[in-house]
Amino acid sequence: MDDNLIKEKESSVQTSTNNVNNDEVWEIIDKEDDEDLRNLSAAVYAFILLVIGIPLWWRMTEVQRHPLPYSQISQLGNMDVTIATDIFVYTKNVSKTEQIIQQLHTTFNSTMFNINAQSSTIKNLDDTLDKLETIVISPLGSLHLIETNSVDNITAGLNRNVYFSPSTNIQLLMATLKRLLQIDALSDSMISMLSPGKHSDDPQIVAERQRRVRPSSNYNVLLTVVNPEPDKLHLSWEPEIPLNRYLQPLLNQLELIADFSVQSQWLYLIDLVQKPVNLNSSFVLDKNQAQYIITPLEKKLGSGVSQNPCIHFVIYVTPCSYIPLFFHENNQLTIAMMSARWGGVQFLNADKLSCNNDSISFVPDDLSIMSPIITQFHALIGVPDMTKHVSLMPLKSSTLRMWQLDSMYRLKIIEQYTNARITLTSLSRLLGEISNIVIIEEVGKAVTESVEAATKVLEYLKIGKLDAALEYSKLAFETSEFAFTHPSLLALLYFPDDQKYAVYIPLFLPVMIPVLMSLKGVKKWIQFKYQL
Amino acid sequence: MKYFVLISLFVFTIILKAFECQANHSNNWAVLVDTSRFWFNYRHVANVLSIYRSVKRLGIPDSQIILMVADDMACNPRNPSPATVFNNADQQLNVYGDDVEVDFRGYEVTVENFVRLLTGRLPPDTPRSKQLLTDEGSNILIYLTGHGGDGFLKFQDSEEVTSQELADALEQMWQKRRYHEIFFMIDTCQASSMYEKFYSPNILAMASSLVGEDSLSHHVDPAIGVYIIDRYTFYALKFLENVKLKSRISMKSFLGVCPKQDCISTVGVRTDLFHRDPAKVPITDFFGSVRPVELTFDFLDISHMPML
Repeated sequence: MDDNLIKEKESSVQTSTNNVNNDEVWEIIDKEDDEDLRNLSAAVYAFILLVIGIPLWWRMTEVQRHPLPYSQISQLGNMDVTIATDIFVYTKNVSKTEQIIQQLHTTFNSTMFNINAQSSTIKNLDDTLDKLETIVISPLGSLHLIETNSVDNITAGLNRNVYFSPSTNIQLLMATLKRLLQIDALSDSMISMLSPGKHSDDPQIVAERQRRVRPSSNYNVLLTVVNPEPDKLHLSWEPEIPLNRYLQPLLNQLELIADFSVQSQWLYLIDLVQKPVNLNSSFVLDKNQAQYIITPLEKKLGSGVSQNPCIHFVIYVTPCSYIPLFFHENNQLTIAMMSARWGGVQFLNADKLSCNNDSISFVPDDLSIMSPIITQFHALIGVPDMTKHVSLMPLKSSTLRMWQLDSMYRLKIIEQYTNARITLTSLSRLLGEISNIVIIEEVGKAVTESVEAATKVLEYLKIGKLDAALEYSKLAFETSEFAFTHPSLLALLYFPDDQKYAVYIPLFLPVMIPVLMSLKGVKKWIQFKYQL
Repeated sequence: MKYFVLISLFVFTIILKAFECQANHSNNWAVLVDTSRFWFNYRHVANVLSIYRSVKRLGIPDSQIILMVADDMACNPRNPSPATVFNNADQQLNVYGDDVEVDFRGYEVTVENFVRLLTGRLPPDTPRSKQLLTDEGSNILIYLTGHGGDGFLKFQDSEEVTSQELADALEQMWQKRRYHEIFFMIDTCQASSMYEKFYSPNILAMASSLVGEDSLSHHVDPAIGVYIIDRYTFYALKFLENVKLKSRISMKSFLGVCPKQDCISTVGVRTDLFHRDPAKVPITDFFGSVRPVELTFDFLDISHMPML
């Protein structure tokens, strides 16, 4: 027992002496290392904050900006558009051929076109026009000028031939060629887009441009049949058949330019709002009244399911009490009218027998419905009206003549290229000015792709390859639109720099102040250490 | 010689006139925004619906009107007559109407969505009716109402759009050829500060008050219990109610709406960016929709089966 007690006492004494020793030791260590430890830890804090923390914070709050080809974009503005075009000339007289070739070079010298005129290799063309049309085949984008006795004045063929009589004035021929190649229309569409307000002096060209639907690579065509009195008049018509027969071949021809999706719908019991006037036993709507019928109709047509521009065609079945109904302007009557960039409206006048007669349903004539639609469709997509400037060989089809299709290609190339150029220039200026705009990799790549495609458009135009140029212009247009309208561009716009500091400074400042203040002590300590 | 100069001048003016006519727009759009919520801001909803009612009556289809309303007053439990919003105490004109198509509502009304809408940078899955699909032929009416101050307009009590941001958004629209002309209208305190920073062409701007002035509300409906419309919009609506689609009222007479004795604040107008004379611009160029038409007389002969 005693032993145990003693041992306990001893151990307690021992521990007490140990405690005393430990405290003393620690005090000594503290005194020795106090300065070192404190300064070392302050230095470590400062190192972590300044060397690791700040760069990391800087890196993480940096706006993500994929590099963009700024210099290439600004170069686009300095590059001229030249379209290489082959023109083959055939006359019976070699010196006249030479004269025309010479004249072609001087006429087109200062234009967008780089004309490569040469005498045609085809000999002895004394055939009829129909025969010539089948024999002379020229490649895409070119024209063949053929002197022949079969025409009285300048006549444009169905393919790429332009016929003229031996007596044709060469200057007149040149003026007509300028029209056919659409020199004014192309430069007008470029100028008007690059600097709004400027335009061609020719009102027809300006009107045609303003009528064209806005550039897009997909369009919807919506045919609406409106029968305001289904109880009085029964209409038996299937729009699918005439649409397939007359419109589809044209759309197939335009497939490189854009995709058109065609739909049709029926609407009933829609009033015309405007009241027609009785004029010599028929009813008429004046042009001034006609402009007010589209908007009420438009409300009922539906806005469409896609974002693509929609071309509307409305067939309004005339109410029985107003048969026959026409549009009227300057003592001329017609059944159809059109609105720029929107579409067309036409009246379908049923015969009075089918009115209020349950047993007879009215069967309209496909051709007479479709010919206004095709005419208006041509105008809306931008096929120029050449009838005032040149006589045309009758085609009797909804499709385009080959030279018309070439013109459409050129127009679309210029339109899409110019659009892409404007979009890219505007985007690069915007991104240069506002540093908070995010450029993710996807957008950066789209911009680069678009610039490259736009440059390729110019290259292919220079060697006259319209199909390749069209393909690249479409690509340039689509990718530039994609980049400009990408939602990610605005992701950080509402987190400006001042807000960035407002968020981070209350977080970091309380930590930073003691660390920064201790730096002075650390400096002294280091000097003291190294002096020893 | 004198006659020659006179005649050539005459011809020149005729040509100029002809071009003036050609430089027409091809379609009309309206962006109508109410930025404030809560029951006591009933009047802002009434403001925006008044303009909505007018442009719709004058022919802009719903598909071309973007309506942003930050709160739903018609269905608010405090509304004594549900599904109505009145602009006057007599409850004669229900501006809510029978068919209101609100495109952005409640908390969707944000500065970001507004700027996205203007610049066309909405997410790709946004429905067509919520997009501003304008082109270089579009005339746009932009109407904003809410609480503002010098250089900003408050959205939803939590954020604001500054006049610089708005000016930049409009410049982006101009560069992307997203409009032909804009009529900018704003009913808020110190409203004119919002259009002072604009620098893009073809914008006609009008504000309910100058910098340093408050825009005041018109009157209280005791049955509803709050102010029900602002002065400026009340008189603008009164003016617009008399406009018919075919009437030849010019923008100039609209710019004179709500003189100081009615409004108490001074209505501000900015015309230096606009290239046409407001006296020659019909009010339907912005508030209505009259599409230009041309009659088609000569049809193509398509009688043959096309070659396939």
